[in-house]
Parts: sequence; structure tokens; C-alpha cells
Amino acid sequence: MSQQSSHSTATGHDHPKYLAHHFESMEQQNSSGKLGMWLFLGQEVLFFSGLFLMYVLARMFYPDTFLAAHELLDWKLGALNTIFLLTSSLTMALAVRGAQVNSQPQMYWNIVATIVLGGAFMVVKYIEYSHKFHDGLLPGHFFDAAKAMHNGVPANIPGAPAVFFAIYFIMTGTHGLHVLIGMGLMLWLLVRIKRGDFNSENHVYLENVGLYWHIVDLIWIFLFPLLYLVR
Amino acid sequence: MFQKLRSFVLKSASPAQSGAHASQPHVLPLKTYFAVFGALLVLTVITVVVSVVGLPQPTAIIVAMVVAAVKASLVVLWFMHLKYDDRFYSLIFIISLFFLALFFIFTTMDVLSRGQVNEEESFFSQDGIQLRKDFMKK
Repeated sequence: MSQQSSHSTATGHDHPKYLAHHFESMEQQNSSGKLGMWLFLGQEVLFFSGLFLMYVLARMFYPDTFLAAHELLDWKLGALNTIFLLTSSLTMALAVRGAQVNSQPQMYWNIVATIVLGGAFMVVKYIEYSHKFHDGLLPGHFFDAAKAMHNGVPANIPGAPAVFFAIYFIMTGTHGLHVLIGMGLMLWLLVRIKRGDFNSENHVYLENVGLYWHIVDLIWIFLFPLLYLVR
Repeated sequence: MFQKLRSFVLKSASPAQSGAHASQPHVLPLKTYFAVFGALLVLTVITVVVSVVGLPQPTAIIVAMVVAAVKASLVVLWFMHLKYDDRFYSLIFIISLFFLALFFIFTTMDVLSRGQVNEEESFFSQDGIQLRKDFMKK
């Protein structure tokens, strides 16, 4: 309780109303929240590392398949999605900055922009997935080379293209699920921002969702060249 | 060494050092965010161009991964504020990367070197690169 905040309420307590009673000070409360988030992000890195290692080993096993199969993915859509996610990371960082400078509209509209960009990412993902489904470019034994060839897709790929598409769907699917979860968290943030829950002293919730959103962006930064630009 | 590590970790942890109120966050100027965003876009263009030009294989993937690592560092240091935040968060993140490296290095070493211990266990045929034909049936 080293410094008095201007947001203190005069309800008999000499601390801000959003300071939980089991914390000494706002710094302690905020850094505890953030520490928990960083531990979770460390877990996320390790969780995705399993998927990335699967990619590395499968590529070691089937180098020719990977070089040929990635041609069936549209790198332009991948690049578009990269730009969507990078921009959403910027708006997310600006939303956190909005909280730091106590600007309600900056917080609100940057979160809205982040949700819209995340939605745009999912729409592009949906277009890609529906093309793959249409052409039979599916994981495992669902992979249908004959159907793909019939649709004019050169799917006569050496090795195990089904393995490439299994990895493509598992990695982008897990990532897409993270994007959807992030969008859900941000809808909840909008409600809390409207309610006036956040200010320059108390916005660790907003910051933690931001950290989560950036790690999702970070994973896409590696997924994009590995899946779409294997050349 | 541990003393050094400890002081590194604790450097930004003590609020008294920053001079200003510890509860007041470190606000970066807007132009920093836009500069980082611009750098990220430029690096994205570089990866795409390098791929379209088509470098020979080992070089291409190395360039792509180095560019991705630089992009990731930009996001982590500025957008995620690790550069200005409590160093303890950096330590947690670096530890997770360390275990990621362990996981990758030892698993890859195992897969690549099995044939040297026992020919039967090898994933690869004598040609080195091609997966054994009977691998899928094992």
C-alpha cells in the first residue's frame, strides 16, 4: 500500500475497490495476474511445440511430399491472413495502451477492430477449408486424390500427401480454435470496458487477453512460412 | 553467474528504481507501435518474396525461420512489452523456449540416429533421406 491511488473509494477502506483483500497492493495484484498468464503462455509454447515437432519429423520423413503438397495451399490467402493477424496484434497493443492512458474509447474501438480482424481471419480460413473439403484434400484416409484430380487439382503427389494434410488441418485447426477463444474473450472484454471496469491502474485482465492474442499471432508467424511457403 | 542472473531478473522488479509511480504503467509512444507494425509487414513481404524467388532448399527454410524469429521477437519485445516489463516474465518465457529446444533436439537426434544403433530400428533406408518402404506397415 505504498501509494494512494486517485481511484480510491471512500468506503471506509483505504484501498481501491478493485483491489482484492488478499493482495497488499495493486502492483502485487497486477503482477500476480500477469505471472499466471505468462506461466500459461509458457505452457502454450510447449503445447504447440508438440505440433511443430510433428511437422519437423514428418517433413524429414517425406521431404518431397511437403515440397509438392504445399503448392496446393494458396499462399496469397495465407499472406492475407498474416496481414489480418499482424494488424489485429497492433490494435490489441493499442487497446492496452488505451487502458494505460485511461482512454475508454481507445480501449473499446481497438478491441472491436481486433475482433473484426480475427473474424476476417476466420472467414479466410473458412474459405480455405471449404475448398480443401470440396477437393478431397483431407487428412489420413479421407484424402481423396481421385476427387482432387477430377476437380483439376494436381494431387498426384509422391509419398504421403495425406500426412501433409493431416498436419495442415491439425495445426491450423488448433490455431483457429485459439483465435475463436480469443474472440470470445474479447467480447467479454467489451462488456467489461462498457461497464467501466478498466483504468490505467487496473487493466491486467485486458493486458492478459492481449498477451494471449499476441501468442496466437506469434504461432501464426511460424505456421505461415512452414505450411504455405515451404519452398 | 547466479548472482548475475538474479540481478538481471530482479532489475525491473523493484518499483523504487523506476522513479515514477510503480502502478503507473510504462506508456510507449504511438509511433513505436506503428514502427514495429511496419517492420512486421516488411518482414512478411521479405518471406513471401524469398519464397517466390525460390532459394535452394536448406537456405530457403533457414531464411524463412530467421525472418519468422525476428518477427516473433518484435511481437514479444514490444507488443507483449517484455522489453519494459518485469524481467521475471522474460525468464519464464525463455525457460519455455529452452524446454522447447530440448524437446526438438533430443527427439530429432533419436529419430535420426536409431539406425546407427540397430539397423532394424532405422526409420530411413540406406539412401539416408528416403523413408523405409515398410515404415507405414510397422
